Amino acid sequence: MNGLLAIAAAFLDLMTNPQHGIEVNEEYSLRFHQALIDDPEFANSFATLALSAEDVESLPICAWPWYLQWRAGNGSPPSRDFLDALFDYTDDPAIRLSVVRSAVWEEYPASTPADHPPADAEHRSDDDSGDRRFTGADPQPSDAVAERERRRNVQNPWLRARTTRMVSAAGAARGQADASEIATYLLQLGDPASLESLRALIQDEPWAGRESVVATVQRHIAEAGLDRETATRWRAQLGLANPGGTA
Amino acid sequence: MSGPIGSELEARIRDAIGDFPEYVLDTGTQPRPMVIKYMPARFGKTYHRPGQKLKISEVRGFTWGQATYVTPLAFPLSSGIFGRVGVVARFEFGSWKTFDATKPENEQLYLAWLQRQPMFKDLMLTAHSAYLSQLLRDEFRRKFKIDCVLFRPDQSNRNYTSTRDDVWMAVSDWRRMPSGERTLADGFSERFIDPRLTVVLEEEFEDQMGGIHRAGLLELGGPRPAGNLAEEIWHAYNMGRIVRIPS
Repeated sequence: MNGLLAIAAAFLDLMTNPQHGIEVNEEYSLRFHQALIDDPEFANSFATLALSAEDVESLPICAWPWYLQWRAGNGSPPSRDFLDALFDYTDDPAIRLSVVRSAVWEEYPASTPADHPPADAEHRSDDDSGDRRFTGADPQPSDAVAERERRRNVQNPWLRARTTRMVSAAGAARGQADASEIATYLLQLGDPASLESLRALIQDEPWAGRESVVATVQRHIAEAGLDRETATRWRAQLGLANPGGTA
Repeated sequence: MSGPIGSELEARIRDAIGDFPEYVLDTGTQPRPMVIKYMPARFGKTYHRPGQKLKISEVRGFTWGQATYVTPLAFPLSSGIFGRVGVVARFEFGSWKTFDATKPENEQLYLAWLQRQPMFKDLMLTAHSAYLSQLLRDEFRRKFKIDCVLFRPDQSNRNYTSTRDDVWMAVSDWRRMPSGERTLADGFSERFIDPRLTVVLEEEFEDQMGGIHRAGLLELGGPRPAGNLAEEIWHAYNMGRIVRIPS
């Protein structure tokens, strides 16, 4: 467990837990920002805490959305393992939305940390033109997985890992529900990085959750009361077919 | 963080966002670009020193999300229900883009936008409404680059606040994310100039009905200052004096 977080837990509970009331929340928010002004080094260290999956329970759950949002503006997002663990820790849409937002922002071009490899560098060959070479032998199962991964459109590493697990749980209701839920979050976030990720999920080769993602996004577009031109533009941007035609 | 909306609704919202309306600043003598913010005494005393800034409210539960909440000086006691100390500050509204939510037709525009958000169902049908509501209100202001929202009080005491006539303000501060995206700032507001402790109320308040009503604890029924209180406070601010308001 991260020691600084352990000490900060009670403070952040008073700052972010609505049960304490707005006045108490505001008082601790004021103290926090005063501390940031008084000690810039504290701000830096708090914004770059190394977090692992085991740290999920270090803070009260209501503090994580605040922390992730604050950290996104002051440092870089926490590790993918941590974000993954936090996503799995709860079904709370507020928490899960904040996880997806952090994960997607991580790969947003201007903020991509220099020490992060490109999303799928470990899978991408020098020749990634789509022209697959005949090797003279049927691929082994592990090769098949690698090959399937190589052909995937999803670049965001968190999203890619999560949807890979959905693929491995093909047909599972949970995977379908998660896919639909993530699609809703990405559409709600609506920034270029989120929409790019959503498009990649839709355009990816058939995977267990794709149908669910497409249905979810089509439903949201249909329910948004869009004029035909706007709906067509959104579907085209996301790589979806338009009713009665193609994208 | 915004899902698809129709071009017509988007155009109507953009049309509804206009210049800051000077009428809300009229103290009865002339427009005074000044605001007052009431706060508990333990926060207020710091504003007896020069160089302080008003705090941006960022915890959950504020009407229009993360913003600095103030009241035009033209409504000098309207927000006195939040604390005994009134801090007065100047501001320059210049080219502020303002969404006047005191107009019912503009309220309807916000509701129409809200209903089209992919997470609207989560907002209405789950226990996470406070947090999601804040996120969506923040996003509405961010997407449409709204510097100031004007709205009617949603907490009141009949001796201090008129929910029908008074106007409160939620003012945005902006910052750039590492990604380059413009987002709402936290910490201390740069919008307000030279905040000073200028008013002290005798009355003390406490929440009733979960904070919708703010009940006076003394209600001694003492005389209110005669004449134009807003102008008296304005003069006191400029002279470095304090106006004391009996219960």
